[in-house]
Amino acid sequence: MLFDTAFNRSVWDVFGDVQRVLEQAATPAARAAYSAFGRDYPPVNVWTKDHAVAVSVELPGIDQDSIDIQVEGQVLTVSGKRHADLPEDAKILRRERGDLEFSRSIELPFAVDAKKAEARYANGVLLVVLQRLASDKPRKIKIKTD
Amino acid sequence: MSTETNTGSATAERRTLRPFADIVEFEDRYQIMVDLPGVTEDGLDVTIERNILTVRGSHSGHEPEGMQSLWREYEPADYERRFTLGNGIDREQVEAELKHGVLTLVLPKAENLQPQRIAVRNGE
Repeated sequence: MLFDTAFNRSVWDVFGDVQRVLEQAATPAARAAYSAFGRDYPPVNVWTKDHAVAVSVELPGIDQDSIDIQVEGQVLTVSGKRHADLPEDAKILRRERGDLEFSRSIELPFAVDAKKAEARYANGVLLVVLQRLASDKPRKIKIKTD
Repeated sequence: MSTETNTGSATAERRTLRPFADIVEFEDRYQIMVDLPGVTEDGLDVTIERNILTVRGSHSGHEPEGMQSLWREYEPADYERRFTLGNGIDREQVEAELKHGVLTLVLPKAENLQPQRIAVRNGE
């Protein structure tokens, strides 16, 4: 596994927009192709509300069976592949879309319950909704007074 | 004094991007596959005018409702791309299918490409 060591670790700040993102591109070619655009692939958006977090990824034409979603504590890992849906007996006139294998690990704002994860793939967009782990929720501590 | 909060509103101005496309040729047809993530059938517009085929897709705004944006690496975009068609395409028979955010266009080749022999009448 190769980590992008150029990325500096920053302190997790729940009130701000700071989030540490680990990115592993499975194939050097894919990484090179996409980073030509100066971006990590695939780009993700993270949403949150109360005790839920949602991650959306634009993945058109992905083989649904190949999508793998893993949750471990506070890290969500999404991986999958898209292989060419180009018919074999055809002559290729233009090729822009390409094959890809990807894997991205995203650090979430809180620990989530893997058993309550929901994932939907519609219109080429994968949306993963996760609920905060009950034991991770902040607890109010009663102040005892004498 | 009011402060503006970023709610990731879907009514914000969206960029229009040129989507990636693959073009292949079969013996009897051409096929174009265009990546249009987030576009639904309602937001998709495919038109042929003269010899230009235009694909327009507007993003359906799949942002989860009621949630706030925490980390944004991409903005949902609209898509537009034009293809110039040669004369060898039967425009009446063009088909389009949208699945998993990929638009597949099938463009059958016209049958009248075969040379036609013209009978010559004897004018005498």
